[in-house]
Amino acid sequence: MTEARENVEELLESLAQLEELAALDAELGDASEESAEAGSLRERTRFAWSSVAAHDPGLEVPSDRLRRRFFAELETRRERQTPAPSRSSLGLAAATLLVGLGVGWLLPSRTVAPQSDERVVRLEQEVAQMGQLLTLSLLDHSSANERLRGVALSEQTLTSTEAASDEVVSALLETVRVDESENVRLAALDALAILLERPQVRSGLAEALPLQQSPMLQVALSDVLSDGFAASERAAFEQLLERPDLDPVVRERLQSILGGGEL
Amino acid sequence: MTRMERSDEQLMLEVRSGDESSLGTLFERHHEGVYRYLLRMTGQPQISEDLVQDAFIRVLRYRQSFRDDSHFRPWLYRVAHNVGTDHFNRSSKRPEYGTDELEAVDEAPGSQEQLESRERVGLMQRALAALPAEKRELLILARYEALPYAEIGELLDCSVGAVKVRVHRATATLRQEVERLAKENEHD
Repeated sequence: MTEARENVEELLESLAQLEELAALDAELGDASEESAEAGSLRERTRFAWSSVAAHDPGLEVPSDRLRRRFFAELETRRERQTPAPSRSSLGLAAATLLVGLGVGWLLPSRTVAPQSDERVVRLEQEVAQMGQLLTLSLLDHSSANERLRGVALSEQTLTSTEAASDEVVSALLETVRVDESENVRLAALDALAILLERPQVRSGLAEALPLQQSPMLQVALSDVLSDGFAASERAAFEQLLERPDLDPVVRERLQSILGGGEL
Repeated sequence: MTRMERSDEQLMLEVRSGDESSLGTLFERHHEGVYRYLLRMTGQPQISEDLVQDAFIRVLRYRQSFRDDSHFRPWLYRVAHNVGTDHFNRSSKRPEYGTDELEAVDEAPGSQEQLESRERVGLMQRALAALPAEKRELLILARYEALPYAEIGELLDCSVGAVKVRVHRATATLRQEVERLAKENEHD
C-alpha cells in the first residue's frame, strides 16, 4: 500500500469512528452523555477529529484588515449617531402637528395677515419635521417594503428641507452600506445620486462601494461616482478591483472608469 | 465588573440598550469563530471577511430581536448563517476550495508529514465543498467549531435529538464523499 493510500485509509478510519459516535449519540439521545460506551468512543474520537480537521493554520485566521475595518465602522457609526426617532418622539411630533393645525384653525379670525404668514411658515416647518421623522422611522423598519417607502419619502424630504436633511442623508448612506435588500440599497442610491455635490454623500458612497457584494450595486455605485471622481473614490475603485472574485462585467466597467477618469 | 468579565449575554443586552461599544468586546471574542465558520461555508477568505463584517453590522441592526432569555452564540451564528445564505442566494456559487487555496496547499514546500497533512486537508475540503449546504454547515458547527448540540438546536430551530441524527447523517455522507474522491484520485 502506498503512503498516500495509507493516509487516505487513516482519514477514512477516523471518519468511520466519528460516524459511529454520531450514530451512538443519535441512538442513545440524552443518555449518551452518561453512557460508558459513548464516553469511551468519544475519547477515542477526540484525536480522530483533530486528525481529520488538520488544516493550514494560515487559512483560519482573518487578516488584521477585518478588525481595522470593523472598528472603523463602529467609530463611524458612533460619530454619525444621532438620537433615533423613537415612537414617543414620533407621537410627540404628530401631537405638535395637530396642535399646530388646531391653532392654525382657530386663529385666522382674530389675527392679521403678517401673523398668518408666520403661522404658515411654522406649519410648513412642522410638517417637514414630521416627514423627516417618519422617513427615519421607515428607513429603520424591519420590512423591506417599509424601508422602500422610507426611501421614496426621503426624496421629498431631501428637496423640501435642505438644511434639516443631514440625518436623512446619513440614514440613506447607512442603507446603501448595509441594508440586506438589494432593492432598498439601489433605491437609496438613486435618492442620493442627486446630492453628489455634498462631500458627505460622495465620501459615504465611496466607503459603501467596497462593502457591496452584488455586481448590480457595484456597477450602479461606480457609475454614480464615476463623474469627476477624486482620489478617495479612485481608492475605492481600486480596492474593489483587487477582489479575485469580482464579476468580469464590473471589472471591465471599473477599468473603463479608471482608464478614462480624471483626478 | 469590567467589560471583559461580563458574559456575552450581558454585553449583548448593553448593545441592545444602545451601548454599541460593547459590540467591540463581542467582536473580539467571536469574530475568529464566525470567520472560520463562514470560510468553511464559502471557501474564500476575502469574501468571508466581508461577510463577518456584514454579520456584526447586522447584529447592530437587529439588536432588538435579541431577547432577555436569548443565548448569544447561537443567536450570532444564526445571523452569520443568514448572511451566508444571502451570499449564496446572490452568487449562486458553491464553495470554491478547489482553486487558489488548494493550489497553495499543494505547492507549498514541507516535510513528508506536512505533505500528508496537506493531502488530508485537500481531500477534506473538497469533500466538504461537495456536501449539501445543510450538511456542511452542521459538520462545521458540530465538529470544527465544537458547538454543543443544544446550541446548534437553538440556532437551527430544531431539537437536540434531531441535531444528533442530522450530524450522524452528515458524517456518513462526508465519509462516503471522501471515499469517492479518493477513488477518483487513484484513477487520475
